[in-house]
Amino acid sequence: MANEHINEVIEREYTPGFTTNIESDTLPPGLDESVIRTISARKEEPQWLLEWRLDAYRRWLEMTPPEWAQVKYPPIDHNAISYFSMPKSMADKPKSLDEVDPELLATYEKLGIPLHEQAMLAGVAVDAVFDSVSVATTFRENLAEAGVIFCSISEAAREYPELVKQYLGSVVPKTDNYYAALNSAVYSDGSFVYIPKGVRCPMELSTYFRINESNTGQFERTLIIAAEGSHVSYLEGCTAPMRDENQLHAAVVELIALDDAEIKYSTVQNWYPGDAEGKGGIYNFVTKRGVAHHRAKISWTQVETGSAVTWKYPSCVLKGDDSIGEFYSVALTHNHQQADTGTKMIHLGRNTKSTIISKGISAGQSSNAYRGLVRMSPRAVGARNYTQCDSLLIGDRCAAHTFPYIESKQPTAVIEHEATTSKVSDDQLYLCQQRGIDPEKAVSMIVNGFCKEVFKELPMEFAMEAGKLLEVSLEGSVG
Amino acid sequence: MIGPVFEPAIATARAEAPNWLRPKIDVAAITLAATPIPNRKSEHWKYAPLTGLALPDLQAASGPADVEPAPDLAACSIVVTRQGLQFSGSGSGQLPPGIDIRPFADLSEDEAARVLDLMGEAAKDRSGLIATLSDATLGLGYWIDIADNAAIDKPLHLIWQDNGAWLSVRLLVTAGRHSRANIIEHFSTVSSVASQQHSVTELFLSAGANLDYCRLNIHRNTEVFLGGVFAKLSRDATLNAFAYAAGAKSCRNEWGLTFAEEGAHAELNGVYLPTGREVVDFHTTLEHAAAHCTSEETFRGIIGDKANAVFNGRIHIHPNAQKTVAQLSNKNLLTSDQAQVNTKPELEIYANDVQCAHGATVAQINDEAIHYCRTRGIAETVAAQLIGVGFVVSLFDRIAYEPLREWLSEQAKQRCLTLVAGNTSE
Amino acid sequence: MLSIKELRASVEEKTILQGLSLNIAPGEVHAIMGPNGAGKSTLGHVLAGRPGYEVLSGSVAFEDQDLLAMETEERAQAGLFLAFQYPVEIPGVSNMEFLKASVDAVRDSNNLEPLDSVTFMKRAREACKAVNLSIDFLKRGVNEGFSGGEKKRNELMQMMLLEPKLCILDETDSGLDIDALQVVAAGVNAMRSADRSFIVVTHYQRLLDYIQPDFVHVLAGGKIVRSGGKELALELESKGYAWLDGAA
Ligand SMILES: Nc1ncnc2c1ncn2[C@@H]1O[C@H](COP(=O)(O)OP(=O)(O)O)[C@@H](O)[C@H]1O
Ligand SMILES: [Mg+2]
Repeated sequence: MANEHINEVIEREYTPGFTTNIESDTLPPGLDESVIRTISARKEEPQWLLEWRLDAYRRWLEMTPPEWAQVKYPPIDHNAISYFSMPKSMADKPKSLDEVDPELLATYEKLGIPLHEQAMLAGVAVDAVFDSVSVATTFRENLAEAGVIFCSISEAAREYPELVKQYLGSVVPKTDNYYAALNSAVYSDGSFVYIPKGVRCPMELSTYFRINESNTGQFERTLIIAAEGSHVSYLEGCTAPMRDENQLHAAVVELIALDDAEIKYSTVQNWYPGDAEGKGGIYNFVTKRGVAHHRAKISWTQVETGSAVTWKYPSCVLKGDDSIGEFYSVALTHNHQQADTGTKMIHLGRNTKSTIISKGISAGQSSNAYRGLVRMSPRAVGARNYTQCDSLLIGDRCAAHTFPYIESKQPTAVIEHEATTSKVSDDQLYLCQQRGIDPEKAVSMIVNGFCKEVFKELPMEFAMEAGKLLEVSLEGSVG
Repeated sequence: MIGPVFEPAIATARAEAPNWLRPKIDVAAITLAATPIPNRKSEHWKYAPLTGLALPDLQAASGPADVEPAPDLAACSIVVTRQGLQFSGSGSGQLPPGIDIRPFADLSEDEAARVLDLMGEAAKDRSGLIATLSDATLGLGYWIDIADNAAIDKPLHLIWQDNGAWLSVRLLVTAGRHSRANIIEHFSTVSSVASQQHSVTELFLSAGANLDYCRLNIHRNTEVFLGGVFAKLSRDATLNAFAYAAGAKSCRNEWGLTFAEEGAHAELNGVYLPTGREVVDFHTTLEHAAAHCTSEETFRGIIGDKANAVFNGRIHIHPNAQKTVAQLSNKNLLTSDQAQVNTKPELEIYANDVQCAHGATVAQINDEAIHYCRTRGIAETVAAQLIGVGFVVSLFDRIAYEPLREWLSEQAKQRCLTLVAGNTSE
Repeated sequence: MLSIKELRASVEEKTILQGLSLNIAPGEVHAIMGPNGAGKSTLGHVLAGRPGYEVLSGSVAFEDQDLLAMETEERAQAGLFLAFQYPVEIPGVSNMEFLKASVDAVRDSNNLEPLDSVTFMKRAREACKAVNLSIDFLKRGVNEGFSGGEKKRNELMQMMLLEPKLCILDETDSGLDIDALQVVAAGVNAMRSADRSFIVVTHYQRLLDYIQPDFVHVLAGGKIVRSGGKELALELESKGYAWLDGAA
């Protein structure tokens, strides 16, 4: 009985699946050094950055895609993808929102991210990235007053070259892995954040990524630097049109939390997941990592409901003494979606602490894996980790996996790991029904309850959205 | 490639094996010739790779130096050497009725065909290397057959020995329908020079069979041990298994339990107590291939000095294995700055109506508990020993056969003393 | 028996005991009362030798020995017993095995043979009975999964078996119902003798209805701020600790 109802809940409509009809300036498919030179030139990058990209590219050529993850997809033909695409109207760099193509603004409006002054989300500054370029960044002046830099990473490379040069690739080296190397070579746009010493960022910072053009890949790059004693909360959202083809999204995010700083990074990932038969959808291959210095704190929260294939492990290098790392994750897979996601907590400093809460929900014929590493180095005296990984299976054709790697070389470190699996049981549904709650509502209540610990970590506005997102995602899954 | 490392052992195996076994040896040898030596990049060997593994001198008859005699467990004790079987201890000196043990060389044509059929059937482990090594180097091969409905109270205590530096054994156990028996396999080090042992045991439990199986690895730090236990459980069969490992330079055991038919149940408990520069490595896989089966797996270890413990416990629930209940727990205590543990409990689930859970912990001996003991007049090392034994003792309690339980608890107690004191045999 | 002079001690670089002095003669029962966080438990831990508790200055003589120079277990072997406010759980180590190790260690330091198992078991059973604890508790792990009250009674049971010279009871009465309280009091009273002394730390004067103290002290701000007879306890009960502020 439970399954019948669940399927009804899961048959979802992907509302952000529309396409914006605008003229784009798109590089022809294919990847070679000239493409990289073109991207770099379009962005008017300094010479060192071009060299950096070319070096990454040359090394990438020698690398092979990772095969260890619990995901299957056909080999990607990197020469069939276009590496740069931007709306033609963005060519002459609009100075203000008034100069931005109304069609673009309408797109964001439709996605629930109004960029106009009047309608802007109160208390949230947004950087809107459309294919390979940043369209607009709101509240820049307000932020500038506080000394906070929030702009596109392309702009940062021109305006703040020292900061970019110092930190770009410092957390995720260009050759960290196959997709990070590819990103380093061809990254197009993304956000740059710098919070000066002792500053508490006065508002939430947010980036909204939108893939629109077909046959393109999106390679965003985000760099957040929180100087000593500063504090920032950042969130990102992402969507793409519904298409039969698979599109590649290979991002890199680097966080640097200097002494006593705190970075909270939240993601609501809703890339197009493909249709019920598993056709189309985004390949979401992402490398996210932060370094926490003395007493700093890095907290990752993610709600992953989209993408055909997700391969993503937001990690913390707890370098400084008393630093803290957190990872809160909800990953929902449905139909033929595949997710292999988790985190790494590398404890280097003394008395470092980490918490991992991972909730995986698999429905349909999907596959959902948690993969994590907790490492206590010999120096990590008094370090602690607590990990809780729960899986919820909906239907009898899905799969849930847990692969936690636990390594300790420090006797005073304490590690605790727990994992469980459960299902939405007939008994639970029966009880709800007996109390007059309809089955669809009951399933989403149970699922929301299952995810509660993670949702409470999201900034308010997003927590609501995430709850709703799960509801639509689960539509029709009772059945 | 790993093949060349074992060349002399393979040649010896070929020369000594009965005719019907040779093709199997050849196939395995060919596979080994194309198998790279597992290194740090090999997923299933990354924490304890085989790089640098060398074959000891097969001819080195170093003779038993000061071998501790195998304990008398009031069981049916049999010392197995290249010379054959020899009853020992206070046991009756003969096999209980309903149980038969025969060397591969003595099998009739029909029996050989059956054994050949079964060999490798339960050992479909993930890496395959352990079983292939055993096939290629097979020295002592024995078949234990337990008759249908046999109810054997006295355990069979098999003590594997060879007075050389090399031992490769294969044991096949077929437990008949509704039979009940208890087998203890005992591995120790008899050589005074660097030595190596390979052992693969396959257990076939017919419908309703109930088998207690214990594998003891009590070695010296000159021993390299590579082995595995693979079991296949038919309908309503029950396996109670126990593993104990301490002392070897390196000791790897792979366990693979396959729940092939409904209603089967297995309990697998293990204790490891490495110190010095020892490496203990357990890789276990529970294949839940049928519905309504239950498993409970608990491993605990105390790791001292510069030792390295590896535990990889995988639970794999196949798509049709509904109503499975599977639990796994692995707990570790580190007692030294340079000890390390690498643990990875894994779940791979393809059925929704199941209850699976795993847990792993790593910590050191609780300071509070030590202090509490001291306020009661108990010296610190004694307290640490008490607490260490307390950490693993609940697992020994699950051994049904009392003489084994008592003897093993005592072994562990002695071992804990060196583990918490931090001094070692080196 | 015990002579504490100007004791100053700290935990985690925070000075808790600020010059505490106390003399206890053989056979005496001293009650120590005081507000939460006054340092009562700290005093017990410093006397018992808990790691992390640092003595800054002062001295403690226990039967003419320098207590502070002794190891934790030596203090226990010399006859000092602390019943913990929060007894520690030791999973897997059976109560019986733990007690035997403890009793034997104490006997050994006094050049006595270890008790044979029969005698030991007999005494352990008697002790259990005296504190109204089922003998099944002897087989369970030390304090493992015991309720709050069972833990307290288990502490008392150990005290009876070890027959110490100086017993420090740290809020052994907290969390006990009136029946259990009487059991504890009866146990203590049965052990009172001319050469055994007690420090009874308590929050409530009601325990002192059952265990008659010779002296009552008020500990506040890391010092003894008042001492008196048992009537002091009654005064505290009615007035609370606030009126002592001036004295502290
Ligand atoms: N281990 C410890 N670490 C830090 N502070 C402690 C510790 N133990 C006790 N304290 C502090 O010492 C003070 C006295 O505590 P305690 O002796 O337990 O008081 P009492 O038993 O009188 O309630 C309190 O302020 C308490 O917070
Ligand atoms: Mg207290």
